[in-house]
Amino acid sequence: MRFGITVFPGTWSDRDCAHAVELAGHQAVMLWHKDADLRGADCVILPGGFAYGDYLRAGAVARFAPLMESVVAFADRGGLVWGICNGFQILCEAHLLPGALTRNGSLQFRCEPSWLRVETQSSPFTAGIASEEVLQIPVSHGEGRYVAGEGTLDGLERDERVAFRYVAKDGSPAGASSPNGSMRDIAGIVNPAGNVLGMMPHPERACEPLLGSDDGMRLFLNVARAVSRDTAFAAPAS
Amino acid sequence: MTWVVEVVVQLKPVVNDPQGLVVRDGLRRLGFTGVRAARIGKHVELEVEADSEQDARESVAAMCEKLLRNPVIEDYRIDSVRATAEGRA
Amino acid sequence: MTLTSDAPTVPSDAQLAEVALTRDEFGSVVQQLHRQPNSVELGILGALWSEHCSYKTSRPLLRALPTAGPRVLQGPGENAGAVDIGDGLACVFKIESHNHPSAIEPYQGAATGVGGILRDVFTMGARPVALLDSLRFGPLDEPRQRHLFEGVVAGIGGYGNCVGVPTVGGELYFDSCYRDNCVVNAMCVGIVEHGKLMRARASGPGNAVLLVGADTGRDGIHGASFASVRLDATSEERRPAVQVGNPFLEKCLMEACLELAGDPRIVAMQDPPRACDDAV
Repeated sequence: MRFGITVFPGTWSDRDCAHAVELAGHQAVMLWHKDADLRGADCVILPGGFAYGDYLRAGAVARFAPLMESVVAFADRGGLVWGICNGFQILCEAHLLPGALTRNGSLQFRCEPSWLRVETQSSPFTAGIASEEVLQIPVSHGEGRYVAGEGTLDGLERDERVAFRYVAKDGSPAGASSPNGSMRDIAGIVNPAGNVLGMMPHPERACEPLLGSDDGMRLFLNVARAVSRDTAFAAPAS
Repeated sequence: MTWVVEVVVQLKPVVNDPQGLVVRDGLRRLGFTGVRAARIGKHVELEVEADSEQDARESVAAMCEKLLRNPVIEDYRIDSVRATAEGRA
Repeated sequence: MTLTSDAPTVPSDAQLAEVALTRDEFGSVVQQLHRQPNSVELGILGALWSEHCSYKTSRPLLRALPTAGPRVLQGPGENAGAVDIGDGLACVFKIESHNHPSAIEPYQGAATGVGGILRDVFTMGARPVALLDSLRFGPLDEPRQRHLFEGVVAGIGGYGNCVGVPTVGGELYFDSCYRDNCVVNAMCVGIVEHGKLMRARASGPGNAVLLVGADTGRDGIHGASFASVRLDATSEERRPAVQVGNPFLEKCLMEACLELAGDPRIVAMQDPPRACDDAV
């Protein structure tokens, strides 16, 4: 299958995501921010980085790129959209996902391993990964603290839309070991239909043992499986 | 006419402001023991073309809604609007 | 210093101080040119002959280091050095100091130090993959040293994070001898295919010269000559000579240069001002 990887000025995890996609045995194409063409992508990845320098707010300017109109339309038609780190920030600014990512509670940029528990089976991104399992995937961000109104948070929990939660290495609640102080330790969420995922940790940096963990590769393989198995998630006709 | 509009974008009161807490504690450590709270926001100064002050305000308000503030976590207020020297009729 | 098309005259002490050249150095300029330099030439030489660009004080020591070998694709004389690492790839790397700006404005001084070293590597066509730094400060229990230390570390991190090149290592020492002159050395390592290695030497009449990058505000003018100046209490007033970094723009510049690497229409790429010259 084909993964389209968005490239905004300042994006810098695009090549890492392409590497992970190719390692998973699939094709990666780069999607330039000024183009409307998604190049037949089955899944669109918005990778990490500092699009537009994170100036004003992370993702605030990127969401107005011509490419984003196509990404939003693709998501509305049920296409798979995967926002990683800066990508998650862009998806929130574009209102494809609720809430916002703010400055880490520690005020520090944290680049370190994080441990995640899968919290929902309702999305093709996480289907098949049991919730007792703890995935080790690194974070690398200064603005990853997820915030939303209490009503929004309760809705996410009730509708099983929390995809990943930060936990301690042994799977117990994160507490002080949370990398950013996100509300309810939320590390990633999906939209109601489950086809749009936003997550702060970087699965492409945990895609092979050389990097210290290949837990992230399971997400790439899950997406490919979802597309090949379920025509609802195949690239929707434009 | 050209107008200079000053906007302040602030975190909503319910949103935690760790930067503000650090600033407050830092000020207290420097001897300003009377500081009860500090909140950090953004000050944006815009020069806009508009026919009247009202038009300038409305234009800037639209800019705030569209880009300058994130409605999930931020409020804004327009602090001042003044005609620039060249802009005076 | 204003540019003038008037006939060049002998500069005053103040004019020489502005470009940080000694009277002796000026004499050497006149001797080599066989005439007085004009104000533009004086400005250029002040930058090129500054401590930052020419390392004139360290040069005798640096010359003692090895620079040749069977795997050396590019030794001294270019923006950075290049060594063959097999598989048709070369490792391009360089280390450079940014001590004076960091002593005055630690965050921006260190940040623009990182910016500068990145440019030296990607103008050779190599993609930067790692940053390192070698730092020296006075004792950390002194408030001023703590201020410098925190600012420098934050500047290196802030700039590197935004550009997207990880800082993977370095060294850090504290000693009272560095109290008045901190040391901030930034290193960058990049990878390039042999065929795409770019050089700075250009030749050929009629070729276009393109100047690309961020606009230099009034911050940063006389920045290189500033490195030659002894730091004292009045150095704070020279704060505007420290450039303010724009890591986002540099990331865009980096991608543009890397896309051009190996393009036959590009004769040479250079990160001005140049550091050393072979004549010394």
